[in-house]
Amino acid sequence: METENKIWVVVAVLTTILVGIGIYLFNLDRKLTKMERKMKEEKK
Amino acid sequence: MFNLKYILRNFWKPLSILLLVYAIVAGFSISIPDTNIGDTLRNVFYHVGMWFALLALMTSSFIHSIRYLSKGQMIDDSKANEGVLVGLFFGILGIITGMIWATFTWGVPWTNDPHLNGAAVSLLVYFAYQVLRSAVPDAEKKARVAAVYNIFAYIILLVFVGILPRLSTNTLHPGSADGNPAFGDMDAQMRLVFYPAILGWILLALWILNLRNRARKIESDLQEKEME
Repeated sequence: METENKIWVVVAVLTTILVGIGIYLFNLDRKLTKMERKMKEEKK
Repeated sequence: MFNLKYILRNFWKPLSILLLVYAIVAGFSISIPDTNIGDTLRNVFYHVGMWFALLALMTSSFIHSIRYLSKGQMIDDSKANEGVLVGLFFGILGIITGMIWATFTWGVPWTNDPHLNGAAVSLLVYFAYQVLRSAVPDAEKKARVAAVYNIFAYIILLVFVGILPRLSTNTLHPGSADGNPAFGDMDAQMRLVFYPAILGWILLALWILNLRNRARKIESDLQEKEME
């Protein structure tokens, strides 16, 4: 990696954004799973 | 919650993020062939991913439309619709990223190129799918008309994005005579980043589609309950 050009800073920023989006989607996924479980239980 | 079945069914979701982090870190750090477009060549890991994601989503939508026509279940119509919506999202990102890239390599954001026009026409066809849906009020009729239209839309997509650009000779966009619109003249090291990146984008797109489908399912279940 070309540390001179400090491109790794950009890589760090992009990685952070991507991981953030991942965490967001993951939480959304869990929320939906919880709702699905609730719906299933109520059906019973 | 953390049983084997749950893990097997969901492991591909975080895998998409993992692959894309790799695509960014490796995509920025590997040395690339010396071409006349310089470092912008690295865009190939991200811009092309949008189109593969679109292709995966439209394929899923196409399959659900066929399933709707053979089984007649509304859930398949809903899944087909969501596939097109998420697909359009990625398609628009593909067009925008392509225009940014073109501005810096060709000097203009848009050229009269079969690759570009084909992509634009395909997106318009899918926009028309949405217009068609909103124009038919009856739910069953809407589902049937939309499913039939979607099958033709998918064929148009394959022709305009997959076939016609490869036959074109008068083009700046990579991938006509050399086979694939995406692969062009990548060396072995680039392919090692490219394939995981493409897989990552496809999985991310399918994850978003999965979330939307499940939200829709809950929504329609709740509506059903209210009716009772």
